[in-house]
Amino acid sequence: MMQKKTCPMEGVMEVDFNAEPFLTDFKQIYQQLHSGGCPYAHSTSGDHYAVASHPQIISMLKNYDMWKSKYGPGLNYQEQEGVLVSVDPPEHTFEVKIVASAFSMEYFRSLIPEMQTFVDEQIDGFYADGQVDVHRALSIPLPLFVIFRMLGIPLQDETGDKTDLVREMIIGSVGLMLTPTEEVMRQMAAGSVDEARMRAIAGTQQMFIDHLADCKKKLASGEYQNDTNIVCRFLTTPGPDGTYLTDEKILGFCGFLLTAGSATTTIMLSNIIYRLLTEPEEFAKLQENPDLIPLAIEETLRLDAPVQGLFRTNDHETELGPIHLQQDTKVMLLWAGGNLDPKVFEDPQKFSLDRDLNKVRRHLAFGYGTHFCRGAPLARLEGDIFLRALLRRLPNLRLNGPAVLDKRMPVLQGFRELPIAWDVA
Amino acid sequence: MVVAAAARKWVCFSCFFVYDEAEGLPDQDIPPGTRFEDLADDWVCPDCGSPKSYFELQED
Repeated sequence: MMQKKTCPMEGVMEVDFNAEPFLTDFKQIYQQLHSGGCPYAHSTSGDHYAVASHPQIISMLKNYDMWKSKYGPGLNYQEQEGVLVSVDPPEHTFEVKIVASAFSMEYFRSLIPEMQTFVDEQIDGFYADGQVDVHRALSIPLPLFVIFRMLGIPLQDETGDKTDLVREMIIGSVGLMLTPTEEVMRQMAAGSVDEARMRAIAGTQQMFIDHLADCKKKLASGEYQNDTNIVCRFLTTPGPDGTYLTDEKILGFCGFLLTAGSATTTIMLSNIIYRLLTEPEEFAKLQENPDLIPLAIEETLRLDAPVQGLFRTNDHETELGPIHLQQDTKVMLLWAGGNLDPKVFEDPQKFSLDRDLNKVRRHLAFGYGTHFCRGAPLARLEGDIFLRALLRRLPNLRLNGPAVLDKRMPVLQGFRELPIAWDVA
Repeated sequence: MVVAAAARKWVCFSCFFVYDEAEGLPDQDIPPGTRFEDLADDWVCPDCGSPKSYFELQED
């Protein structure tokens, strides 16, 4: 077992990022971190520190030679070769250039008509009921539809609907991002690891292996073109040095896209509608002026960032505020904490559609710098389509019972159930 | 005779922000006509914070 690199320090708040007080009251904890004058925390459950200061996080992300991603975005030191979030420049630059050639803005925009049709069809399916769990009925399906469409894999086929398989895979993998290795080992030894989730992880990986082989075969036979789907694009797009991504990298990209591209967007969609339905004055402003939709999306991302934060490790010994860091110490950069920094956002805990959009967009929900989320423009498009459809189709929209928080993935913040109702014409 | 080089556009391949040399970035006191090469080495994308090395010339 690796020797511990962190310890409690006087003046540095102790936080258990896996425990109930944080999962339910994290905004209060962020407020304490900011108001206490020391926006750093030490984790009581994992061997890491955390930082909530917006300017400090920006400064660290600009200094990517110091703050490395090579050990992965989670608490545990990743040993296998990763993709994007787990690599540093220049390898990262190489990967991003290939992804960027597949993930162009034009490509994202080309998906708009299909996304709109999908959302309308989903609403058609439940409209007459006058009520629905919007998280289950729209927030989960829309991002999955988009990602599966991009991957070129049918979400529903003769073998059934893959939604539950994929959701279990995501909960199984993302749910462990803040769990120390020794705790995972203990759970495995005790047989308390959720086997259905482990099977879902293996099943999803096999789905990607089969799909990669299928794409190669169909590209060779001419049935598929270079741009048939994103896997074909990965297979046929050379990097800046003329080489191509390995199969392992492509499989890594598929898993990463599915996890990062659907789980976070799902949370964002439900957060947007929850925030508006619980802020009636702001909701009224939006209904009166739909031009505020982009601001409503950004303000929700700021106030309710789907990801609490991700990790970096320091390339060499250094100081972080009052903390002396040994080389390769895990530090969690708290996107959600930085978004509530009063030094950057006035009255940060307030949801307001009177803010300046350009200032709100300084939020860290998509990260910052070299690892800025490649899917951010797509997530914003999905948010826009989702919100406009709900406003257009569901009159007198309101909450229809308690929203249930999802605490199965502590690194994320969002809902598990979000019941809404409307007036049926 | 000195001929001014045509203004070009540079795209951030992280977030698709476009730096248009013809427009510059008045908010950052970067006047119209400022070539991409003349931006400070530590200049970063105003939308996502990516460094200059994450920009590519936009092909017509």
